[in-house]
Amino acid sequence: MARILDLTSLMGAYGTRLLAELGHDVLRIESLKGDSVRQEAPVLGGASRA
Amino acid sequence: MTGDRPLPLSGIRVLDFGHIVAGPFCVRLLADLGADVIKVETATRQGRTGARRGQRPGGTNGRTPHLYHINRNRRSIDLNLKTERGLAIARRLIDKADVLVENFSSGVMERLGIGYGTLAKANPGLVYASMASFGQSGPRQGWTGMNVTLQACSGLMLATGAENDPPIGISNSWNDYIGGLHAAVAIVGALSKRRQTGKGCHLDVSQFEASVAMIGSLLFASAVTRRPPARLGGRSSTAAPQGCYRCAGEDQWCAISVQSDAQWQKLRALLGRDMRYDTLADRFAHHDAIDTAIEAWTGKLSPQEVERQLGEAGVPAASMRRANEIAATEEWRQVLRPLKEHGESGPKVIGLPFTFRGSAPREATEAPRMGASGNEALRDWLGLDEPAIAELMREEAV
Repeated sequence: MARILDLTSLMGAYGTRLLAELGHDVLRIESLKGDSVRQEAPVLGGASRA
Repeated sequence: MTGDRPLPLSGIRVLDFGHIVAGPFCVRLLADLGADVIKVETATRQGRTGARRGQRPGGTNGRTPHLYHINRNRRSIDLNLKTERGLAIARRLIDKADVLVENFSSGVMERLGIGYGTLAKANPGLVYASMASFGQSGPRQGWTGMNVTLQACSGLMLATGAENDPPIGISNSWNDYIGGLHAAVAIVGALSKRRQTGKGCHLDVSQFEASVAMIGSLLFASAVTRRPPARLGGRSSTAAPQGCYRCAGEDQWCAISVQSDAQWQKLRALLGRDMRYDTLADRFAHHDAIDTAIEAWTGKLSPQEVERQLGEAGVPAASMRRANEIAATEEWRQVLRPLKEHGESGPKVIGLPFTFRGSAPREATEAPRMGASGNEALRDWLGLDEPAIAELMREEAV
């Protein structure tokens, strides 16, 4: 199995998730602020933002 | 991209029992990656195993746009799998195959006597991908799924569209492509593992589960919030404003997606309105009012002009193109690949959306006429010469 460096964000991470599930060893590098997906509220949908 | 390094799947033999879109599309990805493909079809079941073959008005001569797009780079052999003779040839080809792909309903290949369990004994390295709609087990095993029915039962149809819309699916075989794409990932993974172990495997791909996987985060959020996924239409759950906005002219539109406060300030300056909505929360709360203001601006401009001005301002935007407009663009020409049989001036197909540095893309050959390259396939895979093939045809009625 391969070692994979993951520099993706948002949906690019779906590609590396598939590789992880195929058994590869994935290491994700994020900025200090973290992937912007981390900032998304736990409740989705416009109403939760109102 | 040019180069003389072989493509990653060159030398891999794939036997394609796929039909319609999902199976053949999966195989097309493998073929574009360099695999040597034989498509098994049955003339007596055209339209089923025939991947949407059939004479259409306008005379595509048995090769529809679907077939052209999805079934390139392979040879076709016509075998009746309901006869012992046809099956015997199929089994000989399977013995030589690295990969087998089928998207029949669960149980069909077993009933034909060519299920994985039977074949793996003779060819333990075989990677056998089954792509039934609901997989090989479970309560809906054996159900027939089509693009729209799979989107209905995966929940996808209630995640698309806007609130109060009737359920709406994504057309043009979307679910088939997603199923085919996941199957191709699984096959490449299994081939990679086989290089270490020498052993193949049975891949049980569920097209239903592929559909669910595409809305996984929505279903996950719904389980947490205990509310159904919001149907946002053209809007986003994470960015605002976003939508497809009406522009000057008849039925002209431009999509805009504001990803940050800074981008919003750029757009707001172009709108020339006295409004703030500095925070994302403000913009979600006043999305309707913002949309009205945006359309007051876009409504006076062509979509191309909206796209240009927002492009300069660094705000993601794209005019909505129609097929004839796409065909006139430079990036469209980069997408197209000529067919070997017709050259640069002939009809073209759409290439892979990625390239391998150092390897030239595979030259595209057009989708085969049914059974047209059966002899060639028998020669190359089984090593038979012309007299032997003639003999086989007499005995086994290819």
